[in-house]
Amino acid sequence: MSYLTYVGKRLLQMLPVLFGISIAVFAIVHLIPGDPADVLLGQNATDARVKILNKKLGIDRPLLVQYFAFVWDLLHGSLGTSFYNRESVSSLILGRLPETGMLLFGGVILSILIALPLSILAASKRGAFRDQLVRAIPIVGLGMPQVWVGVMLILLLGLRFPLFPVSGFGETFPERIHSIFLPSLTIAILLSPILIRSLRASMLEILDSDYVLTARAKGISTARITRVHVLRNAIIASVTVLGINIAYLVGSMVVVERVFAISGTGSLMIDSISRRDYPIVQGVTLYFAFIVVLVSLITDLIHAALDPRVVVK
Amino acid sequence: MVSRKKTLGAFFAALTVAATVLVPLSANASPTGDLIFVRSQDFATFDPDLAQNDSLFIQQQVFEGLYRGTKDGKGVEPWLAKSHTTSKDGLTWTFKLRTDVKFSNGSPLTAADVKFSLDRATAGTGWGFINEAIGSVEAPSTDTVVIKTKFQWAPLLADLACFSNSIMPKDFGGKTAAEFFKDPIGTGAFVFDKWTPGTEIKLVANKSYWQPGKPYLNSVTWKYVIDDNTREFMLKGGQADINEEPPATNIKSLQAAPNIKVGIFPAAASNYLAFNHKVPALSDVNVRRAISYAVDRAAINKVVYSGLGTASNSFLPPGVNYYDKNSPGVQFDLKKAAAELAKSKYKKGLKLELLIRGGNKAHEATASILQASLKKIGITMTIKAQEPSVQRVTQKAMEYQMTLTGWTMDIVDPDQLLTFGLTPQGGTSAYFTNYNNEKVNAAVKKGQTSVDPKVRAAAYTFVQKQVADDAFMAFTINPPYLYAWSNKITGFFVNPLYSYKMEDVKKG
Amino acid sequence: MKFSKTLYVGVGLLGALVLAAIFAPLITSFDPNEPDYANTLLGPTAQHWLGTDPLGRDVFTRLIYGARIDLAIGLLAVVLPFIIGVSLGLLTGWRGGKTDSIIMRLVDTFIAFPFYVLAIALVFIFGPGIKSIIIAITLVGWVAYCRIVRANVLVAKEQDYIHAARLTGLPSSRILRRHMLPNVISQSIVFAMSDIVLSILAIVSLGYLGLGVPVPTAEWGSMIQEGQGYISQQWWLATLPGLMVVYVGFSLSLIGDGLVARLER
Repeated sequence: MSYLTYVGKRLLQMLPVLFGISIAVFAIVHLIPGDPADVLLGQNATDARVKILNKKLGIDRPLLVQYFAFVWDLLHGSLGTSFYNRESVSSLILGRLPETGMLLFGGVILSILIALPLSILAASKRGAFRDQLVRAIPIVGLGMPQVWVGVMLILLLGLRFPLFPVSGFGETFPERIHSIFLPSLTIAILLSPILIRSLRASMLEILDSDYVLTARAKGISTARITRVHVLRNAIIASVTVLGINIAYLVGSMVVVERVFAISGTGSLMIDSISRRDYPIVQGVTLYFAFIVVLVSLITDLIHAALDPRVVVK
Repeated sequence: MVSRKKTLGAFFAALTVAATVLVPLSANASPTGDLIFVRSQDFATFDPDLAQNDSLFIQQQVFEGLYRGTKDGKGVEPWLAKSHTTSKDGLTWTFKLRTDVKFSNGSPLTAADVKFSLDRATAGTGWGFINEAIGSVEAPSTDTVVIKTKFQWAPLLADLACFSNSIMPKDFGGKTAAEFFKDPIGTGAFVFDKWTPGTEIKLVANKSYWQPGKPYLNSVTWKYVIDDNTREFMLKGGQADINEEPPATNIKSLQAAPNIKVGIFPAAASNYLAFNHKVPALSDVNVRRAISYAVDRAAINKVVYSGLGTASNSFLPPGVNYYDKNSPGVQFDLKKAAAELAKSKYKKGLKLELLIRGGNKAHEATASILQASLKKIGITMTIKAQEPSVQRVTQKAMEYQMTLTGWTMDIVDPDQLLTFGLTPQGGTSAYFTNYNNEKVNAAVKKGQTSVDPKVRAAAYTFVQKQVADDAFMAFTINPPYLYAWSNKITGFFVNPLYSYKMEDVKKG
Repeated sequence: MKFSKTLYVGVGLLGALVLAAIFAPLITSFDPNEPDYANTLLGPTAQHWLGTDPLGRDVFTRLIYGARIDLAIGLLAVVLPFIIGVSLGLLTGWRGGKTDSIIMRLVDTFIAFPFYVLAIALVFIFGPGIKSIIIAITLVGWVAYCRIVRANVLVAKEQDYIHAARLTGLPSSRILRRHMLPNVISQSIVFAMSDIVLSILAIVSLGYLGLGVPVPTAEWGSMIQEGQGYISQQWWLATLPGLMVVYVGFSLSLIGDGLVARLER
């Protein structure tokens, strides 16, 4: 089939995925013990008050009815209303989009900036000292928990040497870039070791492959080989690996947001689970899921388009 | 490979350039006149009836009451009320209001506003019970309020100083309650500006505040930052001015910092180990006394509170009127603990479960200490952690065996806690323990309804001794209120009733 | 069977830790949970090689006992996803067509579901502890292996030696097992090594959110959590457990490299 048909087909296939996720998150959220009205009213909850609030929130209806109401809202473009402060879930998420977006973006960019040169360095001479070093050091990045890394970065680069703000997000754009650096670095420290491993492996594979050998035999310089073949395949590989790890990336944001006091969608989700704010949990889950599915789709499409070895059937 | 070196070189050059450009941007300390709190709880509501510790400090900057607690927390002073007189039978209280007070929208404070607010508070299902004695509130003239009580009620002034009796405009100025609390109007030094849930809430100075020259600050913002270390770093780095309730374990580090002041404020607060008397073993007073003797208060104080608290000897915290410092309570003594357990039918050993809030470091440390101590007298204590909202629900539903809980006094009179925590009237089955001692209930009632300090003292001394002997809960530690602030801040003070007023605070 | 030096070193390092964990009572005489309030927050001494924690418990002891839990988590959380994921990946990459579509949609569904929502929900349902996190990781973890293997299979499928094997009439299962598997599994093994570490880190993160292994059990995540409060003065309390994770990660990466080298002939 043609590439375009493939794209169309994959886009359509997103729908059952999102549908499946909506069922899954609805089920899971309702399995969590704890009555939202009870939790919302806190110390002032009495049986009568709880009953009234439950009715108001609509959670006294049978589950199936609630689910269909949820889907109905979705089809009309609405993610529901928060139990906690009656604001629309979509506006709450959109409100936090700058923080989340910049954090995600920053983490990805820094990961690539760190991983790419180091992978090239390592792959250039397999087994050499620099190869060993490049492979050993990121292990520390992978192993140390993000909480610790984040706190250490703040201690060293925010307090001892006040290069960056300790937390928060800032108002103006330059302020925001400044604030997002340490959190992005925290994410990158976790992500780049994973990237480096995959990049290095695929680069070595390319360098050993037939067409590179042929190119070398033809006298094409190593520099050109790197630029044209290795880099191109490295990018394909990066894209695939990042696509696979997007879920980890999104998940690690939860911890990073808390350490750096950034009000992103990760902390929105955690706080909402504690408050049993079902609409927000469902809404944010679907939103995250949508991002992951979209990114995964894009990586697959790029992979299919660029990698000559893959045949689209 | 040349290109490889070039790539690396370019990469590091870019980093250096970025650093040089960005360093000057680091100087973003909070500006003078605008004060920033960092705290671990998010604001919830402006409704005084629903207020908990997460919201009431902020409410108290926007609303005021007829009276307010004194700095030492031992009494009350007239505030929106100028003075009062009581009738001979003690049942009619006449208050004269200040005539120079305006709400933040410019309208003057009148007795009608007071009547509206107090009536609403009394009818409230949250804290209404503390106004139980109030029979009626009348506003015969714009500056006079008359309160008739159903019986002689000594704590009335203390109750009027409670946040739940905050004065709001009559009929919410024509709005519904929900609308009003989204943008409230009060007589306090600050006015609501903006709330971003999950991030921060900001108040700005009330231009028509009745105390001339105050407040000194332009605005106060409370930022919600969960991570303890991040709050500490924000304070040290100048991004925050006051750190609300840093964990006691951070205190030494904060005290060592040259630009930080630490406040260890005496608090009328208690921590308890609660027992569910429905559990067969815990319905036995000897078992409860045994466990109470086995609580290593010194260890808990050292590990959890860095030695800044005091071992508890009474259900009432020190600083509260009629607190009996001579009540011996039950202190750490493993021998006595074993002896008590031997008197019960569990001398061969016992298994109990302690419910705690997951992630709460104080709870976790206390639980570990308890587990180790109880093991020594043959009680195997397992620890079950639930996340805080679930733990509260479980505690209320009394589906736990033992749990950790506490109390912070809001008024200087012991009545609020004793009614809530001990008697059926409090509506909580004695703070969710199922304890019910008729003699204690009677004594609490007696203290409530007398105005003679000697009678009250006798009643409350009896109550404290009896509940300690009954060990209905184990009293653990009385902690201080901990705050840390930048040395640019002056005038910040937290009274034992856990209230601070920002109109006296200066920055810079 | 010639194994590389790397593999031996990796196995040696990890093995040492595993043995220490199993025979912990022989290595250290301290009880990991017994408090000692007179000796809290000590630095390294002759008696306490790595100092003591806020309750006076020996840090070295708790690290070793903690290894029992964390290594178990790491292993359990990866074994099942690995088996499930690799099998499904082989299947779907080889068959293609409808099977591929269905399985890949399933993959997309699982991969898109936020791990933390699932983990937190499970912790709320089952209570904090190892069970919830293993279930959560298994439900979500098989997906990565499936994708990696499938991608490799799609490429390998077109290689000459596979075409040749097909032409000679070998049954698919045999081709998959003997020819395909060894050539597509290396990336999965590499990933599995970091996945084990990521699983251990997941429970550390859950601990940070207040949902980890309950107190007073010695476990690296809860030790880091307890240590966070002392990071300005006794920074090693939070750092040492993290270094244990690094140690595990390092030995696993050596093992991974060794296995891959072996598989690549």
